[in-house]
This record gives sequence, C-alpha cells and structure tokens, in this order.
Amino acid sequence: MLNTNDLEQRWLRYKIKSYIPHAIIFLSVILILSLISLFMNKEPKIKEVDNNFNIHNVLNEESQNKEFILKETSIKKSHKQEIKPQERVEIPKQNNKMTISPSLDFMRQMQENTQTYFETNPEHKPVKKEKSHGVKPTPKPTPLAKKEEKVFYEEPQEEQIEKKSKSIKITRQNTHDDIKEVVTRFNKNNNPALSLFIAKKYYELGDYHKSYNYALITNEINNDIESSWIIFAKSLVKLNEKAMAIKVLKQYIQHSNSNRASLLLDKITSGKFK
Amino acid sequence: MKIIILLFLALQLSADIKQEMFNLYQNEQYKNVCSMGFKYFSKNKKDEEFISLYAFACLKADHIDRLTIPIAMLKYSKESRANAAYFSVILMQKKLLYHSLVDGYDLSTLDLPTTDYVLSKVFDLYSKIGKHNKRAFYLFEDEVDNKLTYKLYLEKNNKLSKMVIEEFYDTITIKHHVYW
Repeated sequence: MLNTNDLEQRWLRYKIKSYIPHAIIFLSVILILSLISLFMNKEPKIKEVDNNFNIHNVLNEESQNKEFILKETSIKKSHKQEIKPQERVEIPKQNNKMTISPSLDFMRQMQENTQTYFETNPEHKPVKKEKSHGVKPTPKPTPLAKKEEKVFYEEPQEEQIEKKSKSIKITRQNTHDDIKEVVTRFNKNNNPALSLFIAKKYYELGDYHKSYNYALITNEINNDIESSWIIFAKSLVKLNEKAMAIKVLKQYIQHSNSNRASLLLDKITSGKFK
Repeated sequence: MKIIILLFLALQLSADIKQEMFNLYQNEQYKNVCSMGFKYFSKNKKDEEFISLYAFACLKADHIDRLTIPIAMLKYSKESRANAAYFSVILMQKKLLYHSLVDGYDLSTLDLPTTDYVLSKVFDLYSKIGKHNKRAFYLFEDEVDNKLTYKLYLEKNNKLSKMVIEEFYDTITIKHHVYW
C-alpha cells in the first residue's frame, strides 16, 4: 500500500523548495532596483509629505478660475497705441530694494542628466526636418560659407592639449567649451532649442557667421521659433547683409505677425541697429 | 516578473514626463508645461525638480495662483527654499496690488523685497505713488529701459474685476498679462 500521507508531505516540501529560487530572485531584483533608484535620486529624500492640504481641491478650485494665458499679442502696427508723456506717472527714483532672485540650478542639473542619455559617439547625423505645419515664411537662404559646416566635426583643441600634458589640471570651463558641449549634444539629438542656444551664444561672442548658420539650422528644423529668426536677421545685419535681413524679417512678420520681429525691422530700417 | 516590468515601466514613465516637460520649457511652451505639471502633480509631489519646473512654467504663463502649492511644497533644499521665497513674493505682490486697485488699499507704507518679474516691477512703481485718488489707468516707465512702459488698469466685469498689465516697447504692445 502507498503511504499517501507521507507522499503528500514530501510533495508539499518539494513544491515549497521549488519556489525558493524564484522568491530569492524576485527579492534581489527589488532590492537592486530600489538601490539604483536611491542612487539616481541625488536630491535629499523627503521623509514627510504635507498631507495637510488636499492638493486636488486647491488645484481644481484654482483651475475653475483660470487666469488668462500670457498672450504674445499679435497686435499689428495698426494697433499701435500712442502714449502721451503727460499720462505717465512720475515716480521718484530712489532706494535700494532687496531683490529676490530665483535659483535655476536644478534646470542645469536636469540638462546634464539629459546629456547622459545620449551616446558619446561624436558622429554627425544629418539634420532631420520636421514636418512644416504651415507655409514656410522665407526662401531657404544657403549657409554663408560651407566651411562653417566643419563646426560639427570640430575637435576640442584645448582638451587635446590637456591630454598631452598628462597631469591633472583643473580648468574653469569657458564659454567656448560650453558651446562645444552643446554642439556635441545638438549633433546627437537635433533639438532646435540647443541650436538656438548655440546661435545666441555665437552671436554674443561676435561670431556672426556661426550664429547665422545655427539660426538657419534651427529655422530648418522648426520655422516657428521667433528668437531664431531674430538672431538670424541680426546676424545678417552684422554680416553686412542688411537687405537680406529686411527681406527675411518682412516675410517672417507676414507669416507670424511677430512684434519682436517688427521692432527689429523698425530698428534695422531706421539705422538704429547696425 | 510582470510586476517588476510594470514597476520599471512606471519609473521610466515618470522620468519621461519630467524630461518632456523640460524640453517643452526650453522651447518656451510654458502653458503646456504648466498644464502637464498640473496633470501629473500628485504622482510627482515628492520630486522638487518637477515642482520647481512646474512652478516656473506656470509663472511664465501667468498662472500665478498655481504657485500656492509649490510654495508650500518646496522646502527640502536650499535652492527650493529660494524659489519658494521668490514665488511667494510674487504671489503676495499680486494679491496686494489687486487689493489696492479694487479697494484702494494703501501700499506706500510697505517695504517689500522685489523680483525681476514684471508684476514686481509694476508693484514697486505703483507703491511709490503713495496715497492717491483712483485712476482709470496707470502708465509707468521702466527704471532701466526708458522705452519700456507698463500700463496698469482694472478690467471691470459684472462678477469680477481683472487686473491687466500691458508691456509696451516704443508704443507697441509686446505682452499682455491678466490677473485676478
């Protein structure tokens, strides 16, 4: 006769033992994941979260009283308002008020974190064009000099010098290094915000050829970025291409009714911006 | 195993939302960032970077009342506390200016800190006028750039008056903010 009780007990023991490795793997994976998430979060851990107020109630209530959105008003020149000098309130200029400034370091950190998502391969990928949603405002101006495309492949020379010396050097990053970093990142993800940043930086540094080229690239990726067209036109003026700058701005204004572009056009035509 | 995958996907999703918000912020789409932050707030209420990003986007989109929650939540790092102070000054100035415009509350005796935000600039200029009779509108010249002018007035409705600040550059309206 078979001893069924004994057999059942043995079967149970066998079953429990067979689950042990699965349980161990499961627990260790959870442990590893929690450790990784702990290391990833550099910010101080928040032990207590305020539950004193109901966020949703406040937010919902607030959403009912939605404020108007900041309007980049598309008021054309016909809507110009005359401000008479006598209407202005005379304010006595005085006192030094304490100014509170925001801290935007967290954005820099977020930008650095973004950088780690990309591969370090410096190969240049061709700029992908976004599907344009409307009529392109301007004919495509060609880059001023083909040489400028070299910027994608530029080797950071200072880094090479540092490698040669083999000694540890702590150097303060300058604007050129910052731009090179951004250029590398832009080559990997073709984000128009980055190319616009590069164009602005080159413009600030007085390298108008490069600022022109990067503004042009930005416009090719996304032709609705106002700042990019402004930098583009400003660079053209600086490169003694005033007529072209005026033409580009006029077409852009026709397309977007941009006030900033209108202001710049006024300044260029009146000779205030040189 | 399915639980682990789901857990991993959830973590990945929350990181993606923050990243997407940041990309939108860089592209100056502040209204979208503010709406996204509002939508995903409860899932990210422990993330101070997320809260700060949400708050700055709402500030740039003129949704100042939405700063109330970030002001209360930002407190665990030096940077967050600085930003919370910055937002609270703006919120307070908005409320005081509105109170003064609607009810004639005197602001001249107050000596508050200021910020670089347009509302703070107008608040400072307005509070310097001192006691005065109500006017239809106020025109202030920027202290730094004399081409920049601010027009402050109340837009009266049946139920609620709204405070409007218009920014002019050489007589052309460049920005239009409405608060209440």
